[in-house]
Amino acid sequence: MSRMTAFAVCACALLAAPSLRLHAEAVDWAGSLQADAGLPAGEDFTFPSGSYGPLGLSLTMRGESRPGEKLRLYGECLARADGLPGSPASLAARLVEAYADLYDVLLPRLDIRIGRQRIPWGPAIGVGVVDFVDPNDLEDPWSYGKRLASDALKITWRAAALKIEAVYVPTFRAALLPADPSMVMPAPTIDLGPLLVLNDVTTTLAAAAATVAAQATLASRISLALGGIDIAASYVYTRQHLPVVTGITGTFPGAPPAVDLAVTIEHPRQHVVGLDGACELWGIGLWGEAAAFFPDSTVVTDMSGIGGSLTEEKAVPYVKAVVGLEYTFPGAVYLNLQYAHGFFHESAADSLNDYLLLGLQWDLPGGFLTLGPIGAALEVDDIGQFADTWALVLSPEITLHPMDNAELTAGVRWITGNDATTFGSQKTGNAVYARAKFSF
Amino acid sequence: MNRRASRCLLAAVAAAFVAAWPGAAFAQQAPSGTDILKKVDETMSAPRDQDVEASLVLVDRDGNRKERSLRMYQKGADTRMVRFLAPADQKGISVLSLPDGSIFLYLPAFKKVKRIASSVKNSAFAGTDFTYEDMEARRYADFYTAELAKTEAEHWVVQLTPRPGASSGSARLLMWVRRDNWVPTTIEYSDAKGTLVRRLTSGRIEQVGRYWIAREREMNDLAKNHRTMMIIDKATCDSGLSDEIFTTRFLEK
Repeated sequence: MSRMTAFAVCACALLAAPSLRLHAEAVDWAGSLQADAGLPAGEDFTFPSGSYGPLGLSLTMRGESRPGEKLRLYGECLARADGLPGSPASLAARLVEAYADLYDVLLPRLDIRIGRQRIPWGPAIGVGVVDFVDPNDLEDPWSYGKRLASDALKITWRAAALKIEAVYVPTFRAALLPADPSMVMPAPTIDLGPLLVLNDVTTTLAAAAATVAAQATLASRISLALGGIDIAASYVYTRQHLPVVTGITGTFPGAPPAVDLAVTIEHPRQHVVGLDGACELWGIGLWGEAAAFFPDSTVVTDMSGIGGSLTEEKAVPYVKAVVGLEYTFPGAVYLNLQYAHGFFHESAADSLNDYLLLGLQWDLPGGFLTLGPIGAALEVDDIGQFADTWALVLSPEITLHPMDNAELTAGVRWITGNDATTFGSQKTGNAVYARAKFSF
Repeated sequence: MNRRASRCLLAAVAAAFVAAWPGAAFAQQAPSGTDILKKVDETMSAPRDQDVEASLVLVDRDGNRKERSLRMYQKGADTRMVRFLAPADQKGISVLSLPDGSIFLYLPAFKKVKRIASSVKNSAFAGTDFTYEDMEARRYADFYTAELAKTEAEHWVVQLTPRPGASSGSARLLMWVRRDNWVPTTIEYSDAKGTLVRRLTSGRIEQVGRYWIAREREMNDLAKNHRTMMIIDKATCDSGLSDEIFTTRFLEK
């Protein structure tokens, strides 16, 4: 339990104590049990023998209590077991959220949420660029829209159509990386020339100092609802949740031409200024987000030990953006389409690519069957050279709802396109998978 | 009693009988469709506010049943908040509809309030046969023009046509309105081709305090042969619901 969470629990206990005596109520429990099974399909859907996908069982428990009119307590934890039957399974448990809501503190409509909490900002679906307080949850990198919660203090004040939020996160929490981090953190490319040969690469994470000044995140957001239009401006001062390369040093471990590279990665500070909005036009839901990133980092490349030079390159500001629309056709066919400039893992001005993402879902009459979401994501790294720089991920799903609280899902992920692209380089991620979920 | 006196007595008895008959005031001149719709709106939105706990029973063509429960708060004629209480996988899903036509949806899994486009209004609400539009609080007269189609012994039958530019999932509604209390008992929804697609029937129409409430409503999707019954377990009117309930803040609570 982090210091922040411990603090939250203590604060809640103290604040709630009088209310608890007067309004003792049972905790409202809920949860879900989910089983996942995947089968890697290989690059050409040949299903290589001996390969197994993730097998897992996860239990989510949620508890909620309202000891008083002005106090709400919420907690959610996840326990997960992974592994093949009969093999030693990995067991993990984590606190997903645990917070206390205090309503109308000192002023009417001044609310405080303290503890581990999700702070979702912006209207975009999965590829938002202003949803930047919480770190990415990339345990399953194909669920790229997921975020971890932050141990935070959030103060919200509302007045009519205006909403102001201020957030303080005392300790930095990095993104949760997948088993193979290279999927979301491409290795640096260094041209050693024709005479030198790369021998070894060591990567070291330079962690932020364990001080509040070094770790804290500050964020604020002002939202306004004006006649059917929602607009918001936000500011976040935080560390990049995904580490970036800040140093590369080349040395000869012995006699040339073999070269060792020492790579330093860190989570540098950055300022993020965001704008977002949502509205409706002719029954179509529209939204847009843009965020300007001002990274405070410098990449030092020191090749002086192998006859090269020492260079310093300061990161330059860049802008990410997403626009999207959604429409529900008669017959309960839902469509959303988003264009994103810059994906979650792209964090340099010269690395931003363009993505077109489509989601389609059809809820069949009676709610017995859902076709979709049929997800499609098209990546284009250089529109001028489309043929050589595109990749496509198709991920149709089908979900059966045999009874209340039960859903059985089957899906396929198929990746095609140029190997040099982000998506195209992940063709080994082709898979078929199934999921069963029971809520209670 | 002379002949003239007996004729007067007969006339008086006849007049009394006509006066006692429901809708007698309109026996000679039926109200216009517009007047009927106005009275329907007044009747349906008469309570200053309503706090309703209801059960939903979904029945498919094979008779399989699914159950939901919800709590619905309404203020005036056009502000409503609906929150699902069960089943577990839908608990907490909430919808807020406001007088300006805005609809906000809160999905607990995403932890955020989302403004939803009006194109969703014709879609099924959480798997039921009610649409988002049905779950909105709205005055019929704001969205439809009305014409008296026929007069029955106990009902006025009114045909409703969407006003130009008004958002409606149906091309025509046929509404049976009780002549004694102005409560609609049946509404038939037809598409642009004139095909009858859904039928809403209201039963157990009872007086709660000064107001008429239909304790049972059943929406029948005729094409899908699927129906949803909404049974009001508890209804409280004029309890002084706070405006705070009808905010996005309350959705997140």
